[in-house]
Amino acid sequence: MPNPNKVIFNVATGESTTVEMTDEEVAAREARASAAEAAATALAEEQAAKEALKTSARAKLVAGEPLTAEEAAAIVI
Amino acid sequence: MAETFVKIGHQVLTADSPTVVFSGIPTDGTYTDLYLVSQVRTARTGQPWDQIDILPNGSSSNLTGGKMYSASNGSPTSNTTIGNYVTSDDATLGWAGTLTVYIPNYASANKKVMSLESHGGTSSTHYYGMFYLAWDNSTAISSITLDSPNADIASDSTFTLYGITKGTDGTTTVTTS
Repeated sequence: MPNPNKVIFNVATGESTTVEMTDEEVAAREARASAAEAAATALAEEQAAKEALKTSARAKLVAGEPLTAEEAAAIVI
Repeated sequence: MAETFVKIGHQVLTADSPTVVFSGIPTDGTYTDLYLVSQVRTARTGQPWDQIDILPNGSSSNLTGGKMYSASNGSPTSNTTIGNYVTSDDATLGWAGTLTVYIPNYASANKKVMSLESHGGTSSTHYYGMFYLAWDNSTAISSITLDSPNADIASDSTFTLYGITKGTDGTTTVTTS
């Protein structure tokens, strides 16, 4: 199966060409996609953890209970 | 008066493609800065956003970056990946995301920095953000690669590259005629 094509616009000549990507270029873009997906997943998990701390901190404040250090850090700027 | 903000390249995709390259960018001092304006959509499904990577001279080596972005009206978040967000699969809405890239001193022998802004999303969720990229390489930038590693950049996506020539006082003057 051939690699996908890339579109190249040459500013100097004004010509547009379509060229098959090399194996190295395909491997590099797959690596970047994996890295970005991993970063997005980690970020989502971090955000979820922060929101959980905030929710817990708010509930404890309403109930008059002491907060943990992490809960206090989550709601105090 | 010489023009100082000049369109040097314009590309409208006529078919889906994972990568768009502007090559042959002059590095002889004709321009000092580059400014890329684009309207982009990708074919990714299942997500209201997608990733576009900006690669100077096609390289991600010694390329670092950071972003601050937000989904709809949520609190901004940040990370240090080099991708940025544009609209993915919501073709039925008839719109595409926006992406602009400013590269001052692109032919410098020193580290090059870029600032980027983008917006993408659907009718219900919008992603928007500000980004920076730093390319620690002494080579002048003679090509810019826009690569979508998750899904093809969709046809009708439009890219326009401008060359900017700063004045002797370091500022840019846009001619009106």
